[in-house]
Amino acid sequence: MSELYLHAMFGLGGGLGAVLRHWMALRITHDLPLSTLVVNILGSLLLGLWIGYLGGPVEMGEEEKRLVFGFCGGFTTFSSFAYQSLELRRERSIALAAGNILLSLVLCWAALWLGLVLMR
Amino acid sequence: MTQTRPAVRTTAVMFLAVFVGGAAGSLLREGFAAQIPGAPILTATFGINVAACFILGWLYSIRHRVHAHILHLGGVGFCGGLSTFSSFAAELERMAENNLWSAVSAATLEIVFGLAAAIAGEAIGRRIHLRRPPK
Repeated sequence: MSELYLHAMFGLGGGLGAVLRHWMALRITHDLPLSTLVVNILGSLLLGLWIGYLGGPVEMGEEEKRLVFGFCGGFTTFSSFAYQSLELRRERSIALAAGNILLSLVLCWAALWLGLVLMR
Repeated sequence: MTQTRPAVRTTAVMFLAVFVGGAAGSLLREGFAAQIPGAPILTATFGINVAACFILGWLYSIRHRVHAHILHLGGVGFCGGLSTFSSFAAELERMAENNLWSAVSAATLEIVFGLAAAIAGEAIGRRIHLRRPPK
């Protein structure tokens, strides 16, 4: 299998992830950046499930691996999370900004861990 | 009936811009992650996420001057695809298996540097692009 094809699968996954993230951002409209939080939690859960699944007995082709890895990376975002935290600090309060940061960290970490455990 | 056409086209271009940007950002991250060796705490993902924060801060500082599709392509798509929260979480989990404190310090560092990079990107964007033309 050519390396170029595998990169294309990763890029395709990333593009589709970004589109789904934006689609959710257009639907989950709230004055708090809930959409990014939800997307990051779901993406971390999916990555945990996928890493756990790949660690199991099932043989998986390299292209499926790359597609899902690409999707998780494109779906989740660190840059919007950071920028929205700054905006919360500026437009609302430092407590909300700190809450967003702590919640994102703890819930995404927990979601990834849950994914790994579920597939164990 | 025909009045809805431009809206449909705008939506299609918007999602296309997000797709192209997301694919490009993801590929760049994949390429960098393979090239940068990465230290135990300052991983390749760390550098890439911080860089994406800088670019997003810069882009948002000039958001009133650029077309919405540029923001979709560069901000939502490219920066979103370049940066990742899921790999960040996976790296923290891996570190925490060995030493919880290295994971906590890595998370703190990444967030502090990410916020600082976004602020720096904004400040530089304002200085370069929003300087008033001389009278």
